Amino acid sequence: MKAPVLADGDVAADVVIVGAGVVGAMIADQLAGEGQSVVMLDSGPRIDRGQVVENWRNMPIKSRAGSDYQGLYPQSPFAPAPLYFPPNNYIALSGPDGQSYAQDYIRAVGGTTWHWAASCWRHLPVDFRMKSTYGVGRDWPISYDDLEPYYCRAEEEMGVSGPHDAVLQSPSRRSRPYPSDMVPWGYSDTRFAEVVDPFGYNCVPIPQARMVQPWNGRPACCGNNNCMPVCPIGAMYNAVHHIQRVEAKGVLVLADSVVYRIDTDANNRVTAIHWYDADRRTHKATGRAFIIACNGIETPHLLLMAANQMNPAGIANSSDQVGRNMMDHSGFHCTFLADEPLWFGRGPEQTSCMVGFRDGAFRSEYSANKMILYNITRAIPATQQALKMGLAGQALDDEIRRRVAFGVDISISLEPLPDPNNRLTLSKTRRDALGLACPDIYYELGPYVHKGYDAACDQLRHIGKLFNATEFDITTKLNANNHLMGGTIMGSDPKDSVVDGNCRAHDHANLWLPGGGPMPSSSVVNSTLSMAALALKSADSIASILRKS
Amino acid sequence: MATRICLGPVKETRDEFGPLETALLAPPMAAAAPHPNARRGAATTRRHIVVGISAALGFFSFGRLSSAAGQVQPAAPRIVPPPEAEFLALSRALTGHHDLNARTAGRMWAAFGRTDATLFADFPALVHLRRHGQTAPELLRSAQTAGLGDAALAVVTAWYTGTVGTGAKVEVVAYADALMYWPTRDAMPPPSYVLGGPAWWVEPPPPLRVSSPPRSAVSAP
Repeated sequence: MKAPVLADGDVAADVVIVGAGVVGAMIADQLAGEGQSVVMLDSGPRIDRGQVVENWRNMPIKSRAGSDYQGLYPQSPFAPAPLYFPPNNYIALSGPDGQSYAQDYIRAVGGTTWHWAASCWRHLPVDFRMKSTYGVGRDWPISYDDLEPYYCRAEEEMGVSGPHDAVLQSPSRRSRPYPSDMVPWGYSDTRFAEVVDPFGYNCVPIPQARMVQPWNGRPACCGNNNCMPVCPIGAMYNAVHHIQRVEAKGVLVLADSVVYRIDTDANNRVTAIHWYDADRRTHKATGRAFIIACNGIETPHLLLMAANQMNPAGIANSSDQVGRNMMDHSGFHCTFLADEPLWFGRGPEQTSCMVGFRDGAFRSEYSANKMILYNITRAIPATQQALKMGLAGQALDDEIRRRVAFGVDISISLEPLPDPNNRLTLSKTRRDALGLACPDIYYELGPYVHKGYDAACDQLRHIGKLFNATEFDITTKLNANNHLMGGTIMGSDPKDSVVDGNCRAHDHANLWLPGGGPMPSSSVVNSTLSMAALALKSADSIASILRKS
Repeated sequence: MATRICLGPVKETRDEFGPLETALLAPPMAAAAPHPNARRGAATTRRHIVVGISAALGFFSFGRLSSAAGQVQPAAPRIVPPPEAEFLALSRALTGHHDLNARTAGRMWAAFGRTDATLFADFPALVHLRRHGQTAPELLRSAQTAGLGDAALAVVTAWYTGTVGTGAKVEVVAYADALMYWPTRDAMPPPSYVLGGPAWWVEPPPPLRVSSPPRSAVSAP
C-alpha cells in the first residue's frame, strides 16, 4: 500500500480516520488492503495490557465492587473520559434520567473494546422497521438483509463463537455460519435454561468474540472471568488486534492526537482535520476521504465543536440532529439466592442470555428486554454480605461459599426509542485541559422504557419463584450500559437525519460517521457487532468512491 | 497481538518493600502459595529478594523451612519484633486461617498504621485478648465485649477483602491471596487468574459442602 506522507508534523493520506477503536480499525484494515494510504488518529494513549491487569488487581475493594472499569486505564491529560471513583464530571448529565446515562468508555488506542465483554449480537430483522411494524421509533433506511452480509464479515473479522444450532440463534436468519460454534455452557447455564425455558424465557448462548481454541494468533479463552475490565490474556477480541494488523500493512497510527477542527471547501467537502499532539502543538491531516469514528458521544461532540463558517451549527449538522436521539440500553439488575447451587462465576463473564421477550406485539406499547445471566464470580458481594453478618472463622468461609454457589445476578437491558430531546450539547462553562468545550447530555426515558421495566419485573418475579428465591431484589435505578447510539442518526431524508445508509454524511460527500451514532433503533442487544457491520459497509462505500476518483 | 498462554498473572503484583515491611518479614509461609498456577515462580524470586535485603540489614537468623511442595528452602529470614509480630498470630486467631502469609501481615500492619490511627491503637489490647484454644468467633465476641469489636472486624475485613482503609486513605495489600477467594477456590479462580485450560468450566462444579440458604426471614419474590 501507499504510505501516508509526513511533512513538518502534518500528514497527507488517501484516508484519514479519527478514532482507533473497533470501527476505525476495521475500516483502516479494509482500505489499506485496497492499497489506500491511511492515517489514524486517536485522542488517547496506547495501553499496556499487563500494566492494566496489575492496576485492576491493585484497586481497592470498593472500586472493584462498584465495577470501576474506567479507573484502571491511563488517560491522556488532554483527552478525558468519564471517571466515577471519584467523579471527574467530564460530562454534565441532566434531565429526569440523566444519571442513567453515566457512561463508561475509553479514549485510547483500541477504544472501549479494552473493557467490553465481547457480546456480538445482531439486531433482529424487525428492529430495522420499528415504525412500520410497531408504530414507534424510526425505520432504518436499510434493511436487515442489506446489513446481513456485513454482519457475517464482522463476525469473521472478530472471530465470533456462536451457536451453529439455528434453534439457539437470535436471529436465525443468516447466510453464513459463525466462525466457531458457541462457547460451551457450564452447569450454571445448562441448569438455569432447564428451569426457565419451559416458560418461554428462551435461554440462548451469547455470540461472543472469543473462542475456546486458538484463532488467528489469538489464544484460547481460559475462563479467567475478567473480561470486564480487561482480558488478561488477549483471548477476547480487542480492536488493538486490528490495529497491530494495520500497522503491519503500513497504516500510520498516531496516539495522543486530539482532533478539534475540521476544514471544508466551497462544495462542503472536508479538506483537512487539525489536531493537538501531546505537547499541545497543532498539526493538520489532509486526505480524500475522512472517517470520524470516535464513539457515540465523542463523534457528535467533535462535530459540534468543529463548527466552521460554512457549517455554523456544527459539521454534518444542517438537520440539527447531531447530538440528538442519544440512546443506550437502560439497565437494571435482579439478584437472589436460588434454592439449589448453580455456581455462576465459572468461565467467561457472559455466556447465556434470556431472549424470550426480545420481540413481540407488546413493542407497540413498551420496551422489549434481554436478560443476561451474569457469570461474574459472586465472591465480592458474597463476602461483603457475609462480613455484614458479623461472622468469623469457618462460619464466614461457609457463608461466602454458600452465597457464591447459590447466588444469581441477572442484568436486564431495555430499549429506549430515539428522542430528539435526548441531546448532547457543548458546555458553555466547562472546558477541558486544551480549552475545548466539555459535553453536556440531557436524558429522559419516557413511559415506553418505564412500562418495559414494569413488565420485566413481573417476569423476574416469576423466574424468582421458579427457583424459590430468597433475598430477591430488583434494582430500581436504571443504569447505563455503555452502548452509545443515536447521536449521528441515519435516515433517507437529509432534513431529519445526519447520515445515509452507508453512514456517509448528507452534508459532506467525503465524510463518513460510522459506528453506534447512526443506529436509528437500539434493539435490546449490545451494539458493537452492528457498529462493526456498519463500519464494513462504510468501508465498501468509501473504497468504491476512491476507486472511481 | 498478545498471544500469551494463561498460566498465571501477566506480571507480578506489587512487590515493593518499605523499611517497616521489610523489618516485619517473618519466615515465608509454607502454605501461603494460595492459588493453583499462581505465583510459584515469583514466590521464589521474592524469597531471594527478602533474603538479600534482610541479610543486608542483619535482622535474622537462618533456618530451614519446608515449602508447600515439600521442598527444602535454603534459608529464611527470622525476626522477633513485638508487638508487630503478634499481628500475624492475632490475624490467624481472628480468621481461623492458620496459613496466612506473614509478608501480607506485615503490609497490612503497616497499612493500618498509615490509614487508621484509632484502630491501630486498639491492636495491642486486641492481642492480649487472645487465649489458647479459642475459636475465631469466640475471640471476636470477646473483642466485642471489650469494646474492641471494630478493630477485630477491621482485621477480618482486611484479610478477606485485601483492602485496608477507605476513601482517600486506602491501601490494597492482597489480591489473589485475599481470603474472600479461598472458600471457592476449588470452583473458580480469582478474576484474572486461571483454574484450568480452555473450556475448563464445562466440568461439573465441585461438591457443595455447605448447607442451603435458610428459608426464613428473607424476602421472596
